[in-house]
Amino acid sequence: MTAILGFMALGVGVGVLSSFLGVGGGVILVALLVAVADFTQHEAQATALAFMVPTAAVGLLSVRRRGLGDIRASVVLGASGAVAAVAGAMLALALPGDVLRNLFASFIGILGLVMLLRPAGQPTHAAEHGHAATTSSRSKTGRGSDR
Amino acid sequence: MNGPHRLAPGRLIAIGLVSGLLGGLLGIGGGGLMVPMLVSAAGLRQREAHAVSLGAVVPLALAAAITYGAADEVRLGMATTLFVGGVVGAPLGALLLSRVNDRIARQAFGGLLVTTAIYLLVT
Repeated sequence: MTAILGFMALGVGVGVLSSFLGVGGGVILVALLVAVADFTQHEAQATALAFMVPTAAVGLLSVRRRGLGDIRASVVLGASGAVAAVAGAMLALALPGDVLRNLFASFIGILGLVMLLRPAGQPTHAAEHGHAATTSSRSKTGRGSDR
Repeated sequence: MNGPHRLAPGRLIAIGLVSGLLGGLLGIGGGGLMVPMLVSAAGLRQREAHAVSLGAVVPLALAAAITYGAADEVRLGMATTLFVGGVVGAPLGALLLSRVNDRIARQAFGGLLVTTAIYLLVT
């Protein structure tokens, strides 16, 4: 029972962070499942992905109600993404747990450093001008200005 | 301006392949990778990119989860429990978003990621 409540609390935390920071909740969820909940790297990744299916579906319903999004673009992106994701998952399953864990840790380490050093955030209202902003939005994100 | 309707399928496919491969390999789903790519490479606004990515993450995460599930790695009970918690947490996050400085939050999260990375690498 305590464990179930603990995982539910973890879910609350992941939900807060995901909608708050706009980062896929998956990153922090995998990290926490391995670091805190004693999952193997493979189990953590598999469970985080299973968690994301209904979570993204609920998020999708909410943005569709607000008239955002483009189903055709999502289908093209999702179809190619699904094919590549199967390949990625098979590659992960072929790797030993500690190798996968170090790969994952390196990835989140780099991501964390980027967020620490360039906390400008995502340009929520950038690219208001459609295509014209494709290039100019880069300079507004803070990425361009660092160079 | 309806940016999404002009998106070149080739770019969408390329973005899908990159995010899918990393999303499946690292178990992170790929949505967080798609959004910046949709903004910078495909010219979508942030909110549109987020909305489009949500629709793509559903089949992507499902395909990857089934692949891991076939190897018996998914702990479904845990995933369900986490989801229930996540449903409660998401509105709280949205509420926080309107009250807390985004820059500080990103730095705090970045620090958490770096700390976790070091922990995972040394233990």
